[in-house]
Amino acid sequence: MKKPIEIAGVTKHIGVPRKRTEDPQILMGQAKYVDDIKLPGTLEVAFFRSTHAHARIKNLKLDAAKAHPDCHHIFTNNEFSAGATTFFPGTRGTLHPVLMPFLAKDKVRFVGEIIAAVVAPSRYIAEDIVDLIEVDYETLPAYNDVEDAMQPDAALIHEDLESNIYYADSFSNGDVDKAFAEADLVVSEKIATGRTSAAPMETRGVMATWGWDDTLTVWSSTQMPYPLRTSIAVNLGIPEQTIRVVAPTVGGGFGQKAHFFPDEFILPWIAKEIKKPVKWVEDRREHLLSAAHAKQCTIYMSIAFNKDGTMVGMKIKNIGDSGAYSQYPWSGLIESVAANNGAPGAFTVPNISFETVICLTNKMSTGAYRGVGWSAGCYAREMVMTKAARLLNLDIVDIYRKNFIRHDEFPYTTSTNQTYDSGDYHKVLEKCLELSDYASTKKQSRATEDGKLKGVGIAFFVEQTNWGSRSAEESGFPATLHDTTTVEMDPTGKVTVRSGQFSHGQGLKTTLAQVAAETLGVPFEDVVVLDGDTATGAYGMGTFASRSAVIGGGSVIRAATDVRNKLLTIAAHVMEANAADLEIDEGKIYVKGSPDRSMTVAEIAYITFYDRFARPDEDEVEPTLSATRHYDPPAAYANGSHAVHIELDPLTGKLDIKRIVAVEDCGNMINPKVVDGQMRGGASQGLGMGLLESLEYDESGQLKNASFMDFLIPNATTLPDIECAHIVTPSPYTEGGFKGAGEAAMLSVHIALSNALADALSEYDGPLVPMVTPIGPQQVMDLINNVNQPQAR
Amino acid sequence: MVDKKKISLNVNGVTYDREIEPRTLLSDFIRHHLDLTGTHVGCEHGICGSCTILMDGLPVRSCLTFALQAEGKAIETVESLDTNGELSPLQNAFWENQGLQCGFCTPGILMSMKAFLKHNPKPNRDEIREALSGNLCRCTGYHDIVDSVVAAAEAAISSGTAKA
Repeated sequence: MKKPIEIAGVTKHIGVPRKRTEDPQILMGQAKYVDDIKLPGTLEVAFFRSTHAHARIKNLKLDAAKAHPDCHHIFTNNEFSAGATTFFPGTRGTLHPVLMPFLAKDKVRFVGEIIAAVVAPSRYIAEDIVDLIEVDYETLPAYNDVEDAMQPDAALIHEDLESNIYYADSFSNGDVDKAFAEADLVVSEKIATGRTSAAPMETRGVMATWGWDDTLTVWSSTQMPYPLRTSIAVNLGIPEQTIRVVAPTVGGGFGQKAHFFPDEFILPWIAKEIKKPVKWVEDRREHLLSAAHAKQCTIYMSIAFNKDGTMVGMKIKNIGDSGAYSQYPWSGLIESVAANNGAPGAFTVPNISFETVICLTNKMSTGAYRGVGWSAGCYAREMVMTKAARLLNLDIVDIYRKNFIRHDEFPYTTSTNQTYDSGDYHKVLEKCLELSDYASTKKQSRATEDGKLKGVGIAFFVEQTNWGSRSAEESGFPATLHDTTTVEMDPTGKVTVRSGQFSHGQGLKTTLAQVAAETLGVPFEDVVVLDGDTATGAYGMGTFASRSAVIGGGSVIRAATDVRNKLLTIAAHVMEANAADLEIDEGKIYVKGSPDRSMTVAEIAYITFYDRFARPDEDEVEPTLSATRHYDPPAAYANGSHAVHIELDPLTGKLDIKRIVAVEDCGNMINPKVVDGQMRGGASQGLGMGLLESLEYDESGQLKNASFMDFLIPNATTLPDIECAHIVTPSPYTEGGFKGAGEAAMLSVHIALSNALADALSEYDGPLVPMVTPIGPQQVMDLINNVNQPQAR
Repeated sequence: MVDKKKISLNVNGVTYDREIEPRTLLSDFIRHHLDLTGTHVGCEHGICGSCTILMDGLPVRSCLTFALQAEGKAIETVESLDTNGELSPLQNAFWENQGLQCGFCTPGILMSMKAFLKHNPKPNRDEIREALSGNLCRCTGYHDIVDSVVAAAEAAISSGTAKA
């Protein structure tokens, strides 16, 4: 493993809570999102979507629609029969590839599946025309629950597969049976985590135009412009270098926009066919029906304990609800495979075995959403630990302390073969306990004077961050993921960072500029970061999976160091000094110890490009000031803790969140304010998932709550202030000592919430510990009344 | 085909004359007929608040309003807030306090908060949360937005511009 580069900057830009450079244009309403892009003559697309969850298309009646005077085109699978399959080579177990047609062929498999695309002068008219399309369906049994779809006699959702299960694997390490046989206590539970949606405030959207020179330009609300470009090239058979993908300003993604959806191929294909610009912007109903869902797993979790709380063994069966397809490109494996491979969390679990089963249902496919896999997996483990703590007359904190990996054990390889780089879990936990007044709150009475119940809950997480190839592999996905950045200095000494990542709210234009400024030794204001456009960046995988600070930051450090070294070599020649004796600080190059012997970076840059008499001979030093470097980092694991205080009305099940404390160790922070923003936003989404959000399908496969009226996400009164604190343990392996920070809360804060509920109910006969998400009023009353609890089959 | 209607609408102090289908939503009219794309559409059913504009000084969901209903009213959008690229104190408070991340909900929030601070120049955090509750944000967890609104109110008070 290469040692990280020592960052030589004199003035510190890394670690400064700087204001974000991307904000003024947003605040003035000038930032351009996909639907704000205007091209003359643009036609709009509306989709005709399936109203049945599982049915054969017997007769698609388009005549009335085609007769509409403003109908330009209607495209169906007869015109465009492409589709995509997802296949991860070398993944453990057996994976049967699942074909996802871009337009439904013969059969529909979930409500909202695209059957036809209508092209018209405006969206209003396109929707009028969609209303004229009719279909005769032959309905088939629809599956909502994986355990029904898994039955041997279940109707096949994909008839080319032998069953609705398309992936299964198992893993074992240690002597699990012996550990369970000898343990003092075994707790086994079925845990059912709810189905939710990332639901970014900007829905998805795609615009495409075909150029006179046979070039294709695509604007998409995507998190990964370069992989989308490759995928369009492969799936449409267009030379990749003729395609430009632009992700303009994007209004949130959270992993959901790190997929490729059928519309991202249908729109470019239509543009190519009709040689006109076309646009489609998803409405919220379409979004909730057909943008990737997330988090739904059925988990059987057994943990074996000794009397003192030591965990001696763990057995898991995780059944992932894939929905109707295997979401392209990550596949429907991501929840359950990531969950199981990360099952030990912060703890030494010497004996472990797990089964992973991925099953199709007649619902929208599940895919990546912040904290993918771990939200469900960690919840299952921790709820079982909480129940065990009650049965052993311990506090969950005692079990944490007993089983934590100690700070002197790093690097530590878990029983599922993940190697944690660094951390001090005890210190982080103690900080969170102290800030949240956990111990003193626990000593108080649960009952309040007005008949409510108070509760406090805590949770601790280890977050696998910076998804390059190694992180991915340690999570069970032997994929190839890395990034490239170009850093270039122009003749005036200003700096452009060309990134393959893409900031859609994370503030990367600011944070990557901070890293470049410090590494190069130039003022922050002299650096501009270009991202989100394949015409101006460098090939990269995009921004998702807590990867951009580490991989983006690391590739900037590498490239900027190369440029700096080149600049110093040229400066040494010009200034008649030794390069090793030169220092750069805020745009000034000087001889160490003699600050009066100095030149500016701009002077040296100008000489490099325009003064062949002053610069070194070009055969000796090439007169360019740019470098392109790649980074595929070692895995790095962040950690942290959340505490939540609640007040519960035991008569209605309504639960109010009173306090939230978040402590995080993501290594060196580039911009602590941005990290706080990630912590607070993550806590909000985590509590939404834990308290409110559930996409509910009925028995026939209809989504009952495809609107923000019925599918609730947190508003400003759902949450109190979110108190943040940091412990810094730099990663010894990554450039800059960075670890990722994006997903943290989604592994933890919903657990703290459910632990707070268990605490509020701790004086009831029980123990009453929730085994579901979300824990809305109905689920709370069910828990109190001991009805409708998940039952093992 | 739908008959078109003439409409004359005052937006940010400018009068625009257009011909539109009567069913045209105010949000679409502002965005696609006037090219003022700072007003965003997040749900088209009046919940998320991204499309909030001011109509005669009061916050209105432009996605639940027909453009024709706005005739004769003074419409203000996010594009009215800055002065030739110089941020207003409210916008500046959001910048200073990182009251935004992806920024999609931000224009609606700024318009809601402009009207709110005029009505309640010295709000406490709970009052701000109540006033914000009609605007959904998926990125920030609201904390930094509340900080921004507190800062905007304090800035207005210290500069003497707050209305009693």
